[in-house]
Amino acid sequence: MESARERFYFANTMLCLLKAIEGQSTTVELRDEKEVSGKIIKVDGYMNITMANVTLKTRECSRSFERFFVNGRTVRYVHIPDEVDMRAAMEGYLQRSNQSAAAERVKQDIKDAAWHKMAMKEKQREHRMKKENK
Amino acid sequence: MADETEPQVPAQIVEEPLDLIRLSLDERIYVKMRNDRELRGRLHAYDQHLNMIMGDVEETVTTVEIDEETYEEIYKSTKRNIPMLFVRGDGVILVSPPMRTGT
Repeated sequence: MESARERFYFANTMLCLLKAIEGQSTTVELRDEKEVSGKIIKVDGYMNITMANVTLKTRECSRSFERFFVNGRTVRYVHIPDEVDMRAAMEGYLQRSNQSAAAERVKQDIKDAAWHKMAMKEKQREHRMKKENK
Repeated sequence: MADETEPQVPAQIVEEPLDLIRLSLDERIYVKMRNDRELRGRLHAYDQHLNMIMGDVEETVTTVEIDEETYEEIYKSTKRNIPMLFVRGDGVILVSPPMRTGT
């Protein structure tokens, strides 16, 4: 689960687009002229990217990795696959995250209500005990 | 009564510099990047970090080589086209409408 700061970035910056292309294969270009091509597994709120089945291309050679982690600060470009409809992807992602946030809130409300009920019952019981003792 | 109509509030209010970029949304723009890179393309979206999504991008990379005999600086520019690109904002130096020359 992401921190509140990361969620803020997802909701307020273009990161939600990168989040929306999780699971797709693409190329990430790094600041040191390297190119990383592979499947995006996860993007976090700092643009750090976890990738799988990666080919790392430098000017001289290319190497393969099963797993690859890209520090967000080293990213220069991310190619966006042709088939991605950006608007739909971003809206879909934001809606999903809003829904899950709403679901969290409802859960919390239910918990609070249950806790409140328990507390009330406890109070009533104490009250009754006191009365009986008198 | 006749002249009491309020002045029309513009639909796009410019309050901070970044708001000016909003005027370029869905237009072709020129972006100067760090490491002697330039981008020309259509601006689809941007955020406060200047992360941008651009379409039909032409990237120009300029490299300098020094001629071994005459010691002259030779500028070489390499161009390539990318259909859709997410640009991380920390590499951006300036954003402008495309320059008339070389577009």
